[in-house]
Amino acid sequence: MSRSTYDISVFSPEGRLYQVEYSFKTLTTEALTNVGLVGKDCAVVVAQKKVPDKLLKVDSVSHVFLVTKEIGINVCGRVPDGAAILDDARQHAGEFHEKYGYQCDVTWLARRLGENAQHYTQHAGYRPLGNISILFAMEKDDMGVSHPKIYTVDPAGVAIGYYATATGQKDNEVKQVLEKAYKKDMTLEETIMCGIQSLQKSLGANENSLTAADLQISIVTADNPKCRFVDATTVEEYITKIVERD
Amino acid sequence: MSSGDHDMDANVYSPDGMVFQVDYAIKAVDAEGTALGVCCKDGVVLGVEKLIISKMVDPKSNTRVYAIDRQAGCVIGGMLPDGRHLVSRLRDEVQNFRGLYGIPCPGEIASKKLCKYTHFFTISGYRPFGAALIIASYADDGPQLYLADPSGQRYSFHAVAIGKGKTLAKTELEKIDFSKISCREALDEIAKVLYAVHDDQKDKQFELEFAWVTDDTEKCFTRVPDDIAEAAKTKGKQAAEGIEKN
Repeated sequence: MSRSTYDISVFSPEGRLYQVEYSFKTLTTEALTNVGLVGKDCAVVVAQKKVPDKLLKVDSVSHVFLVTKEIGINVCGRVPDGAAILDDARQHAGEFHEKYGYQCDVTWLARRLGENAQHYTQHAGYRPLGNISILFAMEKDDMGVSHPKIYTVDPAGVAIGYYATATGQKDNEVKQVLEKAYKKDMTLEETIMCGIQSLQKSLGANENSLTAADLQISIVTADNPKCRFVDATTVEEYITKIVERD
Repeated sequence: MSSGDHDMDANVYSPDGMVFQVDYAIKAVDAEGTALGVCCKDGVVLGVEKLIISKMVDPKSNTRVYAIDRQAGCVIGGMLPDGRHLVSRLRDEVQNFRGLYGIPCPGEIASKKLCKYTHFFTISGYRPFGAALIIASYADDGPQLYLADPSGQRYSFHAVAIGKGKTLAKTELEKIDFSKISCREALDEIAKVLYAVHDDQKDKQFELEFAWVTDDTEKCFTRVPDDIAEAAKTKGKQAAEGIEKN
């Protein structure tokens, strides 16, 4: 086994980086799946929530955080690595603001985090962080028009924008569902319901088994670019609507 | 899933995406005596089962409970030298916070800072710490109980147990709603749990150590006074016999 795998980030004779590939295996550590979608004028992240221990305070478990007031991040993979990346993201955003006098946009931040991740894949002495992030925010183009954006940043340092994507244990299943179910320019309600439904279908849950307690839904919209969570009552209403619709 | 060649460094992933050095560090914590923490309505109580290696050891000299600041303290689970280093680091962090902001460091921030430090040792060429801290804090954010483990993960708990007897301890702790009882009542409960999980066959000599931060101690983290501790131990020992018989 030892000759065909490499313990530091050097190339194998076939041109592969094994340590980077192994780091992708950590993304299913917590057996959670997350979905990110872009609507006509909203970006939505539907994150699965599980509380691993009955003695835990439920409020202390979260995988979606604010980097700035308008940029949100969903972390997935090894929990401490996610916390480190969240901290780095906040640090970079803060430094940008201090240096340039305005808030960074999500494209810049995603690429910056990608650069960090790449550094770990090349620098001997560190392992790549076992975390894939979904960054989401409204972003103004050169004409001043806001567009919703979603980026994923993975352990290899790849930072790409999506219309709809998924991370975590059932990412491929969700992506397959989204390829059929996702439509561009959906309203906020349609986007959220699409996200919840794609998660339900991939988890193999019947319509009623995912409740508001199992989900963290966060949104940014054109009329209110502040990153915020959808409250439990509203989430339950969406889940009920999905059941009634089908 | 053999560890094979991939378990010698924290900055190396195994082909399955495991970081074995971190898992081994957590095993080091589980090899030592049980440590508990409970978060009650009027404060936080910590207790630990100290295994004594020899009759010649001065019982009071080998403390596992340390104050971090006036309103916060912790108990060390796992390797004592590593734990003492973490306590030293946590004290520095908390004093820096106080110096900068002029208020006691909230439990959430103190534990976050410690975990950032611990996490660094799980990604670089150093070995992870073989110690976990159960942190009790009663600052402006109320009674808080955190576990900072060798992986750099931290959660807020109602009750937590680490060490040899943690599984049995958690089962017992789950039966009680600590948010409804006082610290004085909780002290009796955790004394009972520590006696119940203690293994008389393997570890004949042991000592219990308790500390708390409560409204009654004016939110000051102190060792539980000897008379109260002795009363709790006597009561706990009797109650524990009930558990062992089942």
